Amino acid sequence: MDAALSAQIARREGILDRLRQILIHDLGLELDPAAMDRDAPLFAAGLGLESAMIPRLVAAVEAALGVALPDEGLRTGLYTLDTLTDLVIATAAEGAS
Amino acid sequence: MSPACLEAALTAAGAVEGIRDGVTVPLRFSSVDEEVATLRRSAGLSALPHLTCVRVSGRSAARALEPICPVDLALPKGSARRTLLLHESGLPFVDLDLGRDEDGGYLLFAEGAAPGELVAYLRARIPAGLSVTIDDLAEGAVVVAVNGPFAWELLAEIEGLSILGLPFARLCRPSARSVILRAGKTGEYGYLILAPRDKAGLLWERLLAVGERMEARPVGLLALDLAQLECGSFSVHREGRAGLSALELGLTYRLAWNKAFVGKEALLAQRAAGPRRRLVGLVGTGSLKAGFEAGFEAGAAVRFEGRLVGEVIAAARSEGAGAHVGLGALEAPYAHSGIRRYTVDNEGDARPVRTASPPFVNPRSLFVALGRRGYQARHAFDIPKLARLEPR
Repeated sequence: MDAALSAQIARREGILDRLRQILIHDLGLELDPAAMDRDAPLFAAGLGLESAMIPRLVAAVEAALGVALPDEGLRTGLYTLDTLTDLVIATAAEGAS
Repeated sequence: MSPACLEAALTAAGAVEGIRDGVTVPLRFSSVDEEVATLRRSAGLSALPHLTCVRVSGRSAARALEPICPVDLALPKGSARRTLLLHESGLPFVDLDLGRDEDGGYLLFAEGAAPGELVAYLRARIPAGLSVTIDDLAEGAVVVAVNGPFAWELLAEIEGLSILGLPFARLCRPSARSVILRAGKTGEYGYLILAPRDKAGLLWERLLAVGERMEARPVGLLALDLAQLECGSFSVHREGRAGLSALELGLTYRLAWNKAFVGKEALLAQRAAGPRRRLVGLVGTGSLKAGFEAGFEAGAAVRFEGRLVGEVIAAARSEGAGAHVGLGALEAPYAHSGIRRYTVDNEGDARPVRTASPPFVNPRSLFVALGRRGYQARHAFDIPKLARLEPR
């Protein structure tokens, strides 16, 4: 693995870990980070988020990661921790370009 | 065969049969693409004779299942949880929806076991001396499923408006001999109907007749498989048989780690050592619409700069996603989404592939409010395009 790929993966893992902490500390989900699979559904039978938590989730993510998540992106980005990470990365990239 | 016989009804509907888990099943009725499109647009009717349904009851039912099932058995009556049953090795045995019946017994809807296997698995692991009854419901009942953004509308026509109040992962008994569980694996609204075998054919015919006005159609297992892959839903027959543990499959969220269950020790050991491989989504390059179909196949090698880093576990051409999609089991350090530097071996070529986070489509059901406007008003819904990921 070269340095560029390592850096890309490390950045992604960092965002995933931050999102896990947001779900636990900001949204109050009683979850073990080790069991918060990145492909687990955020809602319902997955990690247990409820739709009423979405505004708090968005606010916490934006504050913690310094991005302004677009409404259209949120419609199709809140499936899993991985898809939310994709949205954060894409939003940050758009902001930088 | 009697008209009430489901097999006769499936044959009349044009079922092309195959074998799954040792049972004859309807693989398709028309083209797989058409059936998936139906499932994503209105409602698909499926027969799932390979699903094993077992009822565990008796005074010690909870104690019997406690050391086996990776789920908290103190379920409220009428509720269900999606989980797994594992081998001692931590590999999946069956994909399981475990429900609590109205009388306190447990209903197990399991996929991945041949006839008799689930009962044998339970009997081999239930502690001795407990007062428990295990009933294999296969002889008297069979599962019919309805999946789609308007599956609720079709079911309400059959069962009445009260079915609209059935939340996800809840079950009800419309009669003493039948059960409806709101669950599915396609990303759309889904209902499993455990129906008496002597009534299942009539149920199927009725669903077809009532569903005609909303263009509901029969959907076979091949289309269900593709729909499952499109939404990133675990398939016990696909990645579940690839030698990957529940940890490597990313399914630890389905397991109750605060209790004992079969396979827990193996998973804890693997967690301590770190998983060797992990599952990740794959998307082929190019767009199907552009006519450039850079596909890949299950079993193909995945490489990073020529070095082998994994293999393709599942692959399919998805009209809904507008691309070839699949799953790869990659060495853990490489198994991350958003990477465009891997290749897949294909007919002697090294074809670019990118890793991606499922789902590969936006299930329509997420944008259709259950019980509000129905199929006839579907164009009024503000629904994003079906393909979730932009082609490269």
